[in-house]
Amino acid sequence: MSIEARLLDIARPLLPSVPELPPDEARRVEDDLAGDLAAQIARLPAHLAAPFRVALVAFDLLPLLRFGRPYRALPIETQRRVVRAWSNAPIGAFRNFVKLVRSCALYTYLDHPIVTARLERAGAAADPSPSAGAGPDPSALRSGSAG
Amino acid sequence: MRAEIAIIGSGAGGAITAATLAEAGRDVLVLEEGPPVDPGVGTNTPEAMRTLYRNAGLSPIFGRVPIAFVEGRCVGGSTEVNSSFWHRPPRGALERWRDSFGVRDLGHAEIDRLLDEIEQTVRPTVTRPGELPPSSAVFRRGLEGVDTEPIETPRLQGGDASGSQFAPGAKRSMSRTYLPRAEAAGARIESGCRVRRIHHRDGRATSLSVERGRGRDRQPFEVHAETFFVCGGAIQTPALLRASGIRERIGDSLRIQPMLKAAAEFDEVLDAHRSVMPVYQLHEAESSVFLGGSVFTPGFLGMALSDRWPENESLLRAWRRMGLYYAACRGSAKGSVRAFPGTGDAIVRYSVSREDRQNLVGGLARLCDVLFAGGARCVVPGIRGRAPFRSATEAHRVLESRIAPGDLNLSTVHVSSSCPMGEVEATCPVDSHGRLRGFENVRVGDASVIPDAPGVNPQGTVMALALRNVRHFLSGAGSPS
Repeated sequence: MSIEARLLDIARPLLPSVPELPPDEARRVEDDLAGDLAAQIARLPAHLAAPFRVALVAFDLLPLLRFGRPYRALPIETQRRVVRAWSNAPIGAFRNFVKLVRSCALYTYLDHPIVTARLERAGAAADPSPSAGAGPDPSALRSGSAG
Repeated sequence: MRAEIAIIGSGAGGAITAATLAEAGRDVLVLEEGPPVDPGVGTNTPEAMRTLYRNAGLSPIFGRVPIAFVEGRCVGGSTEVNSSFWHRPPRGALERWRDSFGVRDLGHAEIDRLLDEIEQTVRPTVTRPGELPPSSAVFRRGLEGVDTEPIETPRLQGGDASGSQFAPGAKRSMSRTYLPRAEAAGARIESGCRVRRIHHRDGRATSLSVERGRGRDRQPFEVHAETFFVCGGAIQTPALLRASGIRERIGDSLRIQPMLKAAAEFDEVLDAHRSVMPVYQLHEAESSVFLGGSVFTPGFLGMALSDRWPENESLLRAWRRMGLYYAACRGSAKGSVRAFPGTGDAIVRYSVSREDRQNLVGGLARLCDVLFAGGARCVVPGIRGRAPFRSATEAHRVLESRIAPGDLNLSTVHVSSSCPMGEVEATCPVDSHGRLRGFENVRVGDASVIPDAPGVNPQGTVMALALRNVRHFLSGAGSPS
């Protein structure tokens, strides 16, 4: 199994539902995301890359003990639970592993040109600004904010 | 390859050293590990992160609390990717460095004169009246709301709000100022060249082992020079020296300025991704804490929200009304830099002290005061599992409770002092003018020599000290007796 596929398996359940992407764009962004994440890992010096690769395999295989299937074969909701469990694990190394992948995935995904363009379009439609021109009441967008 | 003077690194210290030496008629060769900056890539895109930042931006500092650290690895070094805020060294710092480290001939008059000269080239600029970026305007309003006079920090960048912080050519970084000057005066700049080792014998460096390219395309070669300036920055300089067998007091006293970020949502559209980053900073003299604004893109916002994901996901809908801010402090502990056996890659350690933790958490509380006074609807703290604060009162209540150090989501872009200069030989491997002790022809000219964390963005301090020290070398006064 390639490192790209392993990284994308972890990243996929973390990706935001905003902005909504058409399937062809979503596929392209996911492909780029997997490639970008793998390229980032490839840039790590050996003493950091090696333990990271071990953690990647461990992350995939450890769910075998509980669910009888590796992480990659779990339904996405169960994958989310696994990620959450690692995020709150008592062992710092587990938390830090997920934190690293999650930060990189969100950064790379949200700054992908397709995603940024979609965000801009969605934002311009909902949130008026001098550069975006007139639009509906900003409160329409605000209601979506975390409570 | 041969040169009279070889300079390792082309960042703030290396570039000004190269220009000064080349303009004095010296034969200069600059070796830079990273590539030239591609104007089409910008400096904060994921592609830039992979190509212009060391380890693609993933450089951990190990310790009780892991700290994310980023530094540039390109022609121009970190000056190509930093926020380009410009500070002169604070007044108390020079006194501290003279008193505690025995740095000789370090006076305000001389440093100010050097900075006057440097500023002719890098031209620190403040925002033009009426063009304050919205993410700065809300911060300014917040500072006024807590009865603090807003003082804009100059940047080495065009002073208009519409000029994107990522626009190619917008910034007066080293690749647009001192390196072209160096080249015009005859200096050669070789990019994509990693110096693996400094060879030395009997207190004299003789040559460098250098590699161009990576992996199978790697081409090793040697560089011979009479004098070597090591200007790789506060992490790479000690790593290279130690990998070369030069270890005494090298990399033993790393200082950092740790940073805790927060995302804030406002009522108005900020579109912080379209303008320069927030230009006001607040320096709390009594606690060494400083507050300011941070670079913003949807991706950076995603990272700031990621510690409580997916609960924070819905805040993404408000991304155009959000900004990123930080509380930072002069770290009070000492870290270390070591070279990994075989590869020479840097291993960096720093353990956040109790004082650091108090300063950062206190700084975050103060930042919340400013942001809520500026009209924030909520502030998302960089603390694992903490829900967004809805008021300054709530922020203080939570931050005054016990927060485990391991829950702080820390990062830093300011590292220094891994090879401090001074005359206290027990702690300073470099003398008062940048010469490496025990070596007649090796000098250090970067943030490593700053005796301790300056408490401000350090580029101005790095450049002033590098210029001071290279002038001393040119005067001939720097030769060991």
